[in-house]
Amino acid sequence: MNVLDLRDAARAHRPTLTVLPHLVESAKATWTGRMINEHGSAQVFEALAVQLAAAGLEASRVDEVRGFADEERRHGVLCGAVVEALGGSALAEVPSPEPVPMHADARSPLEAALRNVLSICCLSETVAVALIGAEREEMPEGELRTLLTTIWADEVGHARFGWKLLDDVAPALDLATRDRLGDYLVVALEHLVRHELVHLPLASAPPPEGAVLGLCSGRDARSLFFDTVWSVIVPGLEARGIPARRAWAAARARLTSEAAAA
Amino acid sequence: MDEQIRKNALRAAARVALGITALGATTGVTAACGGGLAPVRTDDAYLIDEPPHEDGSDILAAADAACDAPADGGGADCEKVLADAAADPAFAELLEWRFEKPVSMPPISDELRACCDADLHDPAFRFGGRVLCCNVAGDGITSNGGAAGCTPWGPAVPPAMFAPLEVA
Repeated sequence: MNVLDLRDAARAHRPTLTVLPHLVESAKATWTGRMINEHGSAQVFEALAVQLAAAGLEASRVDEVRGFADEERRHGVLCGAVVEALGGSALAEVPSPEPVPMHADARSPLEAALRNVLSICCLSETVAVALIGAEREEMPEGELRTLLTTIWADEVGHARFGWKLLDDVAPALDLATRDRLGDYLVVALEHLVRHELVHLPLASAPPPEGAVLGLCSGRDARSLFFDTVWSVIVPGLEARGIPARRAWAAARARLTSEAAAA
Repeated sequence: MDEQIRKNALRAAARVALGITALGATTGVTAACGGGLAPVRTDDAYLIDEPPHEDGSDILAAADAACDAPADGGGADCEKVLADAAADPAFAELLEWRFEKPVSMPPISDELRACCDADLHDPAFRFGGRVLCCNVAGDGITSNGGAAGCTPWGPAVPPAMFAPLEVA
């Protein structure tokens, strides 16, 4: 385990929060989790930047992705600032980072990079746009909402990067490549469901005033998550010639059979 | 979650993924967020599609009512109503519409039964939430046990590839 210590940086950004003593512990846990997730995501974008460079993409795109890594670190600080404002400490033990797969089994460096772009930008970050967007709308005006808006705006940029890249490169992809990306999507979607559901526990059922501190209903968020996949991500990928509908059906079949066997 | 908030959140994601700006949407996405895409549609009908057969909703509502009466044998009523409903083509289509999974009941699948037993008692989740709560994968995965709230932020490390399964 490693230690993530953002205390000094976070304390400079502490927002003024509404005092809700009965929700403080939940809020601390939530924002600590977000701090860890966000800060840890920096390495995902750093690895993606390296991969995009190796695939021969323009330097401007590579630089943009490196910037995303900086933004994720900043988000970690901002989430830590909320922890500090709640009376907690922006300090946590974190697991050693997982290696980001470079997909050596892909047929080309571009295809390998697109796998990660699909997973990171078109799936994870697009879901984040919906989930954080909803939380932001539920939150009353104030410093925390401003902080959340900052994070959300960046997440929009991260997601849009992937969709824009697909717009630019997908027309030149042959059918076989699109088909293989569809195969990867099965894995990526299954992984997405597992990841999101673990982080959207049904047990999270705060009272209505919890929205003030960014506490969301796990059940609501799960519902929105699945709608985002089905209503936005799948048609978005299909529109770019990636067989996402087939992939989603396959991913669901895998998850369902696993749950039935459990 | 308020339905309008839900729609706005989906619109925001759709604007990113599909380049769509829904008329009247006030998601707050600014140029700083990478905005500026030209609106290509002005409705959000694609987001919140109606089910193919409204009759299917009625059947679900009847099942809900049965499930909501545990004091007078609601469990058994629920089973019967859902078994009857499962034989109805409209119900099957309704499930396919949102579930995208084969409907091979009766007998009632465990997942639908579980949904009936638990999730439908939440009045806030009558329909849209219902099918999602029935997602067996969702309930088959344990929570992280640590974080008290929703912490889905930040992209996870992407998975490596495996050999794709043959899907019937």
